[in-house]
Amino acid sequence: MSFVADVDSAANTHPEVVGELLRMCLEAGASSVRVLDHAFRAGRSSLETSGILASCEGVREGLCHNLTSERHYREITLDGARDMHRNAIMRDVLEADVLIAAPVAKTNSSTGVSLALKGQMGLVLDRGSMHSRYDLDTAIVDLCSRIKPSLAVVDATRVLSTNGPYGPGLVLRPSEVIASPDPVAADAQTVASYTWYGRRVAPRQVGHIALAHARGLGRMDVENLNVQRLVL
Amino acid sequence: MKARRAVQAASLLLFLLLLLFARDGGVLGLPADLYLRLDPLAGVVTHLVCREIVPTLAPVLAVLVLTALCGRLFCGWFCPMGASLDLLGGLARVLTRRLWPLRRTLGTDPLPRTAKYLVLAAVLAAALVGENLDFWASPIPLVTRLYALVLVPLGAEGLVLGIEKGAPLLEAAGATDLLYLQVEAGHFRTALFVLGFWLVLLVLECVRPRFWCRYLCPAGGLLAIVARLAQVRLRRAGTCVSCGRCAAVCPAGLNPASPIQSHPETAGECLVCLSCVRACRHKSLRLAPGRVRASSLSGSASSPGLTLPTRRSLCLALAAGPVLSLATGIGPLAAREVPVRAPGSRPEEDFLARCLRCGACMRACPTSALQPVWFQSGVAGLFSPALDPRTGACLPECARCGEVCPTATILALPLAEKKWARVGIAVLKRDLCLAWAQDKRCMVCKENCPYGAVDVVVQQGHVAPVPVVDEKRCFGCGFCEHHCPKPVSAIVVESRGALRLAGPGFEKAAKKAGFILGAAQKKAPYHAPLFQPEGSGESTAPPGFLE
Repeated sequence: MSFVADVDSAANTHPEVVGELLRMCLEAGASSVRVLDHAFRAGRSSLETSGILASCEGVREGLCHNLTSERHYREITLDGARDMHRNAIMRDVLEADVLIAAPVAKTNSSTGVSLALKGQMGLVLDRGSMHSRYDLDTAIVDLCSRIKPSLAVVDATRVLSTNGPYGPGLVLRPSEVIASPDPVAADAQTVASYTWYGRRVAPRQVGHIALAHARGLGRMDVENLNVQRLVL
Repeated sequence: MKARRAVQAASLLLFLLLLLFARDGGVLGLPADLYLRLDPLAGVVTHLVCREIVPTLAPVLAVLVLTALCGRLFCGWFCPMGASLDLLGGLARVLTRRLWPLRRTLGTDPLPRTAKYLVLAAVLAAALVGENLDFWASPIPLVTRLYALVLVPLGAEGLVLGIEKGAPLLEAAGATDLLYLQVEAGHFRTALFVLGFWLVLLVLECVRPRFWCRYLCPAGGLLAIVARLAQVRLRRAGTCVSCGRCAAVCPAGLNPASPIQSHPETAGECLVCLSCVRACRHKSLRLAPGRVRASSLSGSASSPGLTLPTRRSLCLALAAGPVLSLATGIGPLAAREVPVRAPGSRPEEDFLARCLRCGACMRACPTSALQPVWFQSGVAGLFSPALDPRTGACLPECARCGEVCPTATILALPLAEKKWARVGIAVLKRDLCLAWAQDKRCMVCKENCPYGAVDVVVQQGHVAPVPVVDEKRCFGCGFCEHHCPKPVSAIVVESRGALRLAGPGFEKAAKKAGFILGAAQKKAPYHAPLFQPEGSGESTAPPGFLE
């Protein structure tokens, strides 16, 4: 929910996907749930335009926030990092028992795609250094090694297939949701499932996915994994 | 006295509320710049400087009429500068009482009271040659700057600190809304200067109460002249025993019991605070209408210091104004460049002539993108507002700066018109850019551009896709510059190409110039063929993907 863009643009996760996830968390007995992002713009404009704020407020009020102030972040050491050894991460994330990544499926002209792994950049205070100071792909894997989501739910109800992350671009409408406790597998399955700029792309062609696989964060060889398809 | 304090407090509170909610619109249906539009000096001088009637400043007529009837009631009862000096100066006096016992003795003015007329003369003379000096001394802009640029940001910092420290308590109380409260404190460049200026004023407050109002304030000087017409004045009855209590409490340092008090010149010094009326145990003083007969004053020559300035000093002041202001256009004092101004800003010369440097636009800007400049636009442009994208970017859905500008220096434009009021053009510094110079895959400028003006393209000879700016689509909002990950931004908004008009008509002018300004999301989406690398037909991966 980083972008001031509506549901049709596919730049943000579908509000119904977020709302439903939130409902399921509460049904599963979570005492405290937060829907958080570090959007580009301070304030609620992207939360409102994306429809996610209204969707969350419909389930329970006061859970959905855009955290842009330093006070919400804590500087930590990223153990086992190869490049980015320190950054400030959302306090709520560091204190959470379960972290669920819920990205929309879309292209990104820096990293090929922006899915569960790349989306974790929305939890750090200083994203700029990941571009300028570090190697972006390595820094993404460094980050995800420290705050690895317990569950990745990739919203492929709409896929922004070109000109991501902001669009406007070609929006595919597979009406699918891809979920896995392994965020690398979820990302890889998403990459393998759709066309990007009109072509088929292999997961290994996405730098950070290949790197995450190589460093043992998860698996990108989806052909060897048990993929279940549910039609609702 | 009590009534006056209540009115003063209420007035200061209203002023503060209007300022605090400047980002959200007015309070009680009042315009956020209400007090600025009441500033007597700006309200008279601005028309002269820009050779045009500024209709937004019409409310100042009410102050002039009030003064012509009752004297400097505005200074004593309503002026937020006066109230702040009473409050902060009173505090300073209490704190320094031991160090610096104040003796309010009559007739020992550390500065001639006529000094304020000289300031006024200098400002007026500069105005006649079309130069704006009043921003240095207009009281309401001065006090607005104090609160907008210094005290409100400090208060916001305090609030954040409070929330941080009280987080466990707030959490226990279930006040999650407070925990996540978005506080944009804002940091302003000249804040230290403003603070220093006010510290000097507070030291002077310890020398004499209302030092500024008595000796320096040119708006006070202007009202003092108008107050000579006042019909409602202090009157002394025969019961006076000359005990001196009234003189001891007078914040203007006058002797209300003296027959001179009724003299028109003295009436201009009186702040009509009525402290003397309350202090008098013999009910000898009262405020009453009626003309003072000149004969009753015969013999009581004007006391020294209460007269008008000498002809020589007045001439010097009249000369100093234009000379000082014209000197600012010479050599190193002149403008080096035109800064990026707010959307809807008038042409630069007109802009500087009108701008009061009050800081209302800076306070109203939700991202604190408008910052006071130092010498970027010369001495004449000191403290004027400019867009600083590194601090904040101009939001497409906001036009508050124009709405709160008291002199229409930044025009109040509806959003539909504001979106055409381009402020500049983003220029890529290819030698600094991560993609252009370092072959790094970065497109932060593109992903932040609300207008779709930055595209990332595959270029031969570059490993990473590189950003390019479409100038026709660029508004100059500065989101790219704000978010550029380089320590020194590799994309910089320049004022070149800004649309500066003296009135509405931005949409027409912008369309004529060929601008294509609109939300990025409204831009025509890409269609097949979806990806075509430039040059050869060999297979290349789409942007961001590996081979």
